[in-house]
Amino acid sequence: MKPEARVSAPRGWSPALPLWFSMTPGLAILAAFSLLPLVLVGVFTFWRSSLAGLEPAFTLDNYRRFLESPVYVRLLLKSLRTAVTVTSLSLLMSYPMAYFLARILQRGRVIGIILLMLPFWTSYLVRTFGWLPILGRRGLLNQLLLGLGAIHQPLDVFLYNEFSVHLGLLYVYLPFMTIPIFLSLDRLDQTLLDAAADLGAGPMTTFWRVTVPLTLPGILGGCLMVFLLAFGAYVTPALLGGPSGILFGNLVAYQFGPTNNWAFGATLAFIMLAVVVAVLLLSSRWVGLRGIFLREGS
Amino acid sequence: MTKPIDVRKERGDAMTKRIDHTQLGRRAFLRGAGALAVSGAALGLGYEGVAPRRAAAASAGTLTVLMGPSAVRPELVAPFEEKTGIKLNIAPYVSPTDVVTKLMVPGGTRAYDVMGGLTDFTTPLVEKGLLLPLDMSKIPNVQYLNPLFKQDILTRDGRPYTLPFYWGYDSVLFNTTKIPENDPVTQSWGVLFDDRYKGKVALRDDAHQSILITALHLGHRDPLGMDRSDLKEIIRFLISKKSNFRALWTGFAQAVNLMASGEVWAMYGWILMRTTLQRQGQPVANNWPKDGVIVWTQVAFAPKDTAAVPQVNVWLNYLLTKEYGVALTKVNGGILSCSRLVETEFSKAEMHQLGYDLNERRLNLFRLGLPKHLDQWLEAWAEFKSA
Amino acid sequence: MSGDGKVSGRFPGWGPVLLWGYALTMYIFLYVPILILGIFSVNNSAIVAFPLSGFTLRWYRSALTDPVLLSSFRQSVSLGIVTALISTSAALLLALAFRHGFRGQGVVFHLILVPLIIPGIVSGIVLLVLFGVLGIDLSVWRTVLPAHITYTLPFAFLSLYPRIHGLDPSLEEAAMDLGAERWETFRRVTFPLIRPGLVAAGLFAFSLSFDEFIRTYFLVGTQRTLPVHVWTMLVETLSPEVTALAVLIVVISVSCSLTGFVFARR
Repeated sequence: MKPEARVSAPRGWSPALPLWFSMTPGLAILAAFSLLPLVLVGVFTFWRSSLAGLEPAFTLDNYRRFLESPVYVRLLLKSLRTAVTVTSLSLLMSYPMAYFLARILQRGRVIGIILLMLPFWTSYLVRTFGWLPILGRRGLLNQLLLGLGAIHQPLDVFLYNEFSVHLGLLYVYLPFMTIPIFLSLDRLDQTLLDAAADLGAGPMTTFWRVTVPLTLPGILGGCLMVFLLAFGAYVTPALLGGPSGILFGNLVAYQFGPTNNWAFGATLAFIMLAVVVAVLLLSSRWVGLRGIFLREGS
Repeated sequence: MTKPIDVRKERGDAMTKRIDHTQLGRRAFLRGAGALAVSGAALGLGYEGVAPRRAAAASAGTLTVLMGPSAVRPELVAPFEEKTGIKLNIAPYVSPTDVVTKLMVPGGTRAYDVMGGLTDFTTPLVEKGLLLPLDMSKIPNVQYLNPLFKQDILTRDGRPYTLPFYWGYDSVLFNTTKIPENDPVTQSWGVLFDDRYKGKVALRDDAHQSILITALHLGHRDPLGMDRSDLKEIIRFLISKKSNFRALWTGFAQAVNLMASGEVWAMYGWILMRTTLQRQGQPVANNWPKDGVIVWTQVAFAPKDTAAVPQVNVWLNYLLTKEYGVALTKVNGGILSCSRLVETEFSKAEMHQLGYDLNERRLNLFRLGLPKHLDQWLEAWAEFKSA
Repeated sequence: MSGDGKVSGRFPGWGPVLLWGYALTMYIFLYVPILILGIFSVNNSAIVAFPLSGFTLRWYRSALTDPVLLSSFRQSVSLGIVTALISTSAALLLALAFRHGFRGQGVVFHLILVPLIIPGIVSGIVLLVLFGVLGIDLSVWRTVLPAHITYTLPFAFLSLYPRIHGLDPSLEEAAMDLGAERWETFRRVTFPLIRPGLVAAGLFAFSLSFDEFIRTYFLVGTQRTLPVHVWTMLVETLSPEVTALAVLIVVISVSCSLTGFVFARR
C-alpha cells in the first residue's frame, strides 16, 4: 500500500513548485497542531494535576486510577459497543439506500442524492434536538400509535435511553455511510456483473460474490467514519440519553470541566486515541488506509 | 480507478457528485457555486450594517460578564446599558463549579471582567489571588447591604474581594395537577425518590447538587464532608432509584422544556424556572424541603487581570441599586436582592411569598458549599450514570 | 433469473419495487425531524413540545434580529472562509508535492490523515492542553482557527489528491516544449486544470468548519460561533428561535444548491 509505485514524475518535466515549498505549510500545520499536541498529551498522562493546571512528574497514578475504578473501563466498553452497533445498523440501512440510488434510480438520481443530503445541511445539534418532540411522551410517535389504537397509554420507551441515543447517532451520521457506498456502487463495472450472469450466477450469488466484494472499500470507508464519529459522541448522549446519557467522550470532557483534572483527562483522551488506532490497524488488514480513503485498489 | 473527487462528507459529496452525474459544464457550475459562496459571505458580513454595534456604548466600554442567568436577564441589563452606555457581553453560564473552572483555564483571568459565583465556591479563588481587590469607595451602594450578608464579603489581608448582591434557594419544582400539594412528601426532597412518581422525575446532571440533595434526603449529617464509603452508599441508593428518573438536565432551557412538555412532573430546579413555567401557564409550584432547603448567596467579583476596572465598579455598584434589586426580585419571583433598599418595595405578604422571611420559618437551611472531595463526587456520579 | 442480460447482477422483478418502498421510508425517516422543526418554528409557544398553540412568525422575526445570533453567524461565516482559504491552499500544496515522487510519501500520507481519525472531543481537548501550556488565550482567531484548519486539511487534501494525481503531465510538457517557464506553466496550464477541484474542496472545508461544534466548544473562550450559540440556545436559554434558525439554514442551503444547479444547467 505504498504510494511510490503510482506517482512518478514524468520525463522531461518537473513540477513548478519546489518540493520543500509545497511541503512546508501543510507539514508545519500538522506538526504544530496535530503531532505536537498528541506528543504533549502523551507526556502529560504521566504528570500530576494541580489546581494551577499541570505539574511535571513521572507517575502512573492516572493509569492506575483508570484501571482501579470500574466505571472507566465500563464506559469505554459501552462507547465501543454503541459505536459498533450504530456502525452495523448504519451499514444495514445504508447499503440498500445506496444500491437504490446507484443501481435502481435512473432519472432523477441527482434529485435523489440532493434529497438525501438536504437534512444534513442544517446544524446537527438542532437535528438531534428535533427528535425530542417526536420521541417524547406527548411526542409525534406516541400520538400516532395512540391514534392508530396500537397503544392505550403513551409509552416512555422511545426517549431518554440507549435506544434514543442509538437512533440519534444513526440519524446524524447516516450520509457518512451512504455516500461512500453509493460511490463504489456507482463505479462498479456493469460488464463484471454481466459476466457473472453469463457464467450462470443468480442475482443473489452475483450480489454476494461480485458486488459486495467490489464495494468493500466503500463499505469500510463508511464504517470507519461512522465508527469514529459515534465513538467520540458527546452531544447525542447529553441531549437524548436521559439518566444513562453518558459515554466515554462525556467522561473525558468532565475532566476539563468541573473536576479540572487535566492530567487524568489527558490520560482518558490518550486511551481513547489508542483504541481508535487499534481499530484502524485492524481494519487496515483488509484494505489499506489508502484504499479506504482514496478508494483505490480493491 | 480514481474518480476526480474523493468523497468524505456530506456537502462536498453532494456537490461533486451532482457535477459528475449531470455531466454538465463543471466549470460553469463551480463558478456559480463559488460566486454564491462569496456573495453568501458578503451577505453574512453585510449583517454588520443591519445590526450595528452600539456606537455610543463602545465609547463607554464593554464588560464581559459570566453570571447566573437570573442576574443578567435582558430586562435587568437593558436599563443599565441605557443609563451608563456600558455594554455587557454575556458569556454562557453553566454552573457554579464551571465558573471556577473557567477562571482557572489559561487566560481565564483576562477573559472576563465580572463573574458571579456562590460565596463558598469563591473562597479558593480569593485565597489563590486570582481576583481583583475591590475599592469599596467606588461602590457606594455597599452601605445599603443587608448586614446578614456582610460575611459574604470575602477578604484577604484586610482587602475585600467579593460583593454579595442576591440570595436564594433551590428546591423541588412539581406539577400540582399531577402531584397533589397536600401530599406531605411534596414538602421534602423525598418527592424525587417516591416510587409513585417513577419515571416522572428529573435531576440535574451535576454531580455536586444531585449527590448533595440525595445526601440531605437520606439524612446525612455532613454531606459536604462525605468520604468514599459514604458516597458509595449514596450512589447505591441513587442507582436503586434509577428507573425513577426520566431525564437529567444540564441547562435552564432543558429543565423548563422537561416540565412544560410533560416529560417530568417533579425535578430539582431553580426558582427562576418555576416563575418562567408559571408565566407559560404551567401549574408548577416549588416546595420548602424539610430535609434541608438549599440556600446560597451570589457574590460578584472581578478576575485580577480585567482591563476595565472603572466599568467593573459601575456595574458592581449597580447590582446593589434599588432599581436593579426590585427588578431582579420581581422578574425572578423569589431570588432576592441583598440590598436593604428593596425591602420597602414589598408588603409583608409579598415578602412572605417571595421567601424573604425564610430565616424565620424554622426550616432546616443548608448552605450550598464545595464538597471536600469533588473528584470522588464526579466519579461517583459517572458511576450512577453508567449503571 | 430469466438470463435477460439487462437485469444481470440485479435483483429480480420484485427487487426494485421493494427498494423503492425502502427508499421512500428512508426519506421519511430523514425528513420527519426537519418537518417537526419547521412546525415548531411557527408555533406560538416558547416551549418546543406538543400540544401546539397557534401560528406565529415571531420566532423568525427574533432570529433575524437577535444581535448575538447575528454576530455569531458572522463569526462562523468569516471563520469558515478563512479556514477554507488556508486549509485548501495547504492541501493543494501538499497534493502537488506528491507529484514529485519523494521518499517517505507513505509516512506523509498517513500523517495527513491523523486529524481525520482523532475523535473530535479528543482533538479539542488535546489542543486545549497545548494552548494552555503555551499560555495562549482562547479565542476564535487564536485557538479555534488552527483547530479548524487542522481538522479540514485532510478532507481538502483527500478531495484534491485524486484530481491532481490524475493530471496528464503531457499538457504541461507541451507547454514547456513551447517555451513556457515552469512557473508560467503552473499558472496557465496546471492551475486552471485544478481550479474547479479547488472550489469544491474550499466549499467542503467551509461547510465542515461552519458546522463544527465540539472542538470549538473547548477552544472558543468567551466568544461564540453559530454552533456554540445554538448549543446555548438549546440547553441554556429558552430560545424557540432555534427552530426558525434551523429552517432558515436549510432554506439558504437549498437556494444555494438550486441556484448552483440552475447555473450548471445553463
